[in-house]
Amino acid sequence: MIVRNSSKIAFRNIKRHKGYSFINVAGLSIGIALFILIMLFVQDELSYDKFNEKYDRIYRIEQNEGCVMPAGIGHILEGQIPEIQKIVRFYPSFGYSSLLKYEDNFFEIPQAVFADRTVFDVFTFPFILGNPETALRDPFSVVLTEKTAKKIFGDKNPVGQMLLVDNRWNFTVTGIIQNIDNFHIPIDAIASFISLGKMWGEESLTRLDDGYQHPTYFLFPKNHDAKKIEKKVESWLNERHRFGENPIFRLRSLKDLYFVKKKLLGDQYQFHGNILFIRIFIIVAVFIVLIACVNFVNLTISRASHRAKEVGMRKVIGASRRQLISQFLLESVLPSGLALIFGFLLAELLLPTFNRLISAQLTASSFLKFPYPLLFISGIIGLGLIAGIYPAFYLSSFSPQTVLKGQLTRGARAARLRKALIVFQFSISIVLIVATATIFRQLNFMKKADLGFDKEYIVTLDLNRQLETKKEVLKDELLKNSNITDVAFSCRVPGEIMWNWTTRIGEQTATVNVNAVDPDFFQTYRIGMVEGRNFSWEMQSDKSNRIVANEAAVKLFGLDSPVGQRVDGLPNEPGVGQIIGVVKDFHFNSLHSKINPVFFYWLDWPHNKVSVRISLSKPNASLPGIERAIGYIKEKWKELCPDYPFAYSFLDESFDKQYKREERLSEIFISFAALAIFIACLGLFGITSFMTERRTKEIGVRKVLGATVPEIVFLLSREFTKWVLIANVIAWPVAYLVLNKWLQNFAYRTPIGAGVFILSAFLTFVIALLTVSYQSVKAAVANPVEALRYE
Amino acid sequence: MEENMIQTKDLKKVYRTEEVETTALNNVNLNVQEGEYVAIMGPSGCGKSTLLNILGMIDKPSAGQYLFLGEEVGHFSERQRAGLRKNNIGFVFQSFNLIDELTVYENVELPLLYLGYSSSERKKRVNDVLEQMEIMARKNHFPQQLSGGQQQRVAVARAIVARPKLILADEPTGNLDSAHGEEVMRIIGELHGAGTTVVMVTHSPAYAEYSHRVIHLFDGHIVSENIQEEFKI
Repeated sequence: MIVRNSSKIAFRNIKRHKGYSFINVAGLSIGIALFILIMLFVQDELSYDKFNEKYDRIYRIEQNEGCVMPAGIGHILEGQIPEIQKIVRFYPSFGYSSLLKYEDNFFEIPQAVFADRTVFDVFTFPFILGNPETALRDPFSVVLTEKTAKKIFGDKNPVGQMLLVDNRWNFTVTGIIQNIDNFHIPIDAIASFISLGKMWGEESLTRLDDGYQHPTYFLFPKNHDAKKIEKKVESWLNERHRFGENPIFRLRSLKDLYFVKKKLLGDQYQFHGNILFIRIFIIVAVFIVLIACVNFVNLTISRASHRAKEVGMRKVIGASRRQLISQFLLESVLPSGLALIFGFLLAELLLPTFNRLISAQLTASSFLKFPYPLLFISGIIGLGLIAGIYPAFYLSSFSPQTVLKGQLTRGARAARLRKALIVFQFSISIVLIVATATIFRQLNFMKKADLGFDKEYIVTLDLNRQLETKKEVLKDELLKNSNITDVAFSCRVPGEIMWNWTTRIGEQTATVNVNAVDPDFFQTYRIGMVEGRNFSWEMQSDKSNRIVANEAAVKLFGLDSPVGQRVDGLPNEPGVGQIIGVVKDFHFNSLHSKINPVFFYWLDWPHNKVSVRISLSKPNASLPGIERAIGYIKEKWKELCPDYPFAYSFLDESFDKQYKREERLSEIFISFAALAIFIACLGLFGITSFMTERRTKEIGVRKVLGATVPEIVFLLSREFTKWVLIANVIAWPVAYLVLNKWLQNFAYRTPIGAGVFILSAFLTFVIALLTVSYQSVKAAVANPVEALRYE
Repeated sequence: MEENMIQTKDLKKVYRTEEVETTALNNVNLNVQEGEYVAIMGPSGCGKSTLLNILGMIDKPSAGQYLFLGEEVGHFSERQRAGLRKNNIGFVFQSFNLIDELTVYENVELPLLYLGYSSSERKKRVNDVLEQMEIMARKNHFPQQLSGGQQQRVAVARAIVARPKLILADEPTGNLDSAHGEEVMRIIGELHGAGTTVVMVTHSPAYAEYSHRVIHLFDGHIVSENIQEEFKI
């Protein structure tokens, strides 16, 4: 009964004080919407790999710094160690390109992988059509995900259909599986692993020294001791073969794969979560909800004098304090319930934008699954309690004889708390502003940094099998165009990850990056020589066993006169080479990492990339000039490899993709900061209106005594600016420490200048002042008589 | 002899602020018997309301004893006092103190809610008392929609709906014009006639005449007590 009475009061209060209710409910709704979105994201991230029923029995084998194995490891371990019930090897791509041909159409299937037939025993990929036992038994069979099947075959039954891969291999579709979401290896199609033997020779399935390309997984029994098995596997492998220098084998549980902290060699084709991101997101989400709760607390306390009489009277009639506390808690649960409903609708509305921002495909439906509705309801209650607990205790503490006499004006304790809470809100907003500004600065710094080579106006093409045989023709043809100045072939272009190789100079062994290039590579990228010479087309003897090192490699080996040094253990035949020149250091990869030591050597294979420099000289360095050049490249492509569709990318764009994570982070933080400030300002607006209302009489008297409007505005704004200043002082060191830690992620970073702090102070002052001034100007220009008539 | 409903012994109330100490009540000894009608008079600031608040257990004495129905209540916890209040005492204030967010009916119903009456019993009692106060037609109105006299009738209805033994009235006519004032005094007189004990603070000698006994307070002391030979009903 008391409950019904209280809810009635709560509803009537919401209706009567519309502005105040709006601030409360709107602020909370935004906070909740954001919280729901972030939780959807977090839930999605945390769900990676968990759909596998044998989740806690699956392990990946890793060697030293790499998570990919030669195919032979999976082969020789078969049946050797009783705890290993099943082995699955993957190979991440169909070959040069992931283009499939069906009838006369090309389809790009980016994530087509090869896997052992055991893949369906180990991982949970449910079949829609076909038999998991036999689907990958034969060479050249392939299982498609539902999505892929739809893309190629539409509504036709694909089982038994042929797909042409690389214009050479015919694969038969043997099954359709459900789409694979949230698996750490992206998969659109799975072809039988033994196909690789037919494509590249049977020895490629059993090789132990070469071809570190295969993520390899084991299935263990329900009860297993992973550490013990790890030791067993390691000693078994080392007894049978010499795997390079100091091989260390490790087993990593599927549970830990997605959030693995260290970058591993060979994992660039896999999905990774960043647990730090998730933690930051959760913290920010909680803080934004807290900011909204603070509004609730503050506005309720500010309005306390409006409720004081009621509290007093209820006490006089005989309400106990406990009854009053329950009443006020109930009153705060109601708006938070409303806010939850609006918050959910808002989240649904913002979901597409949010998905774009974090490049995900989250759906709100996952939030309606059990136990989320239950969590929701407890969320309403919990939030109401958090927001309402202090006001409830505060309001119920009024003593009836004082409030009924109308003596209650302002509790000093409550006023202090209110100020502290506003400072808290602004501090969080300021940290977010400083964070956003710093992320932007760092991003800008990285994008504008001198990379040591010229990344502008370079177009890269993927080399396919057909073009591979006509490389020289392509180069000659392209160079005939006056808009094109350079053409070079290489295994990797800047922005891509190079292979690691352990080499030896004299007594010293060290791991360096290796890249196969042709003699035009350095000129194309405008990279200068420091010492010695470049490879030369005139000297075919430079091929395969001559090396151009970068400065970092020279430094790593501590070479005084690098030119002429003999290098052992190279990936070429016969594994020996000689340094003929040194190039200046340049950033092959992003500024996250230091410049790696690199050995470049000249090989005709494996070249995957063509780099084409378009001339900068007038009148070509204009959009039409570039378009003409690309048109020309396309024309030649069509002539030389008509079986492959033309595709290209600009190097500067693909290089900057390495900063996608920071770009996303900055966009997300801008939204976070904006919302946090918005909610904080809503609260400030509400508080100002109450405080100004309370000072109406004072303002009237001051005006009667001759105060001018600006003087009154200054008087009313002074206090708030003081709070914002304090908030800045608190927020700065926190922001500095957090961001300094974040910047440690980058080998090259911008200092956190005083600028961002001044900016944050300026922004918060202006925003707070604008918020406050609406009320204070309104109060200041009002006719003093109106103010005095109140009494 | 009739039972003492209220008995105070050397009751003292001191207000302290940072610099000043104000004695609002000084050694007040007062007995009120069951069924009595007592008026308290005195100039502003003499401690009338303070005394009434202590008697109503919405304030605590600084020193001295307060026996309510023979029981010392000075040391009672807030919860015990709330219990005593809701079961025994009805308040009427000068400024009505109705809850703006509740309708007339809901305001009157409130004490019964805190007493845990069943819904049918509440309905009956509230309707009865609204009838008695001749305010039934307004039962779904909010306090702001009523005149001062009507509001005070609602406040009185609220004070008596739980049928308290004691009614404390703090200048019940202070905010009313004389016609409405008379009416409220008549209602209180009727309640007293039905057996309810009444303690009323008033400025008005005319209204004090409705009581058995008038107590004059000055500067925290009881300075005189007049027993009325004949009192108005």
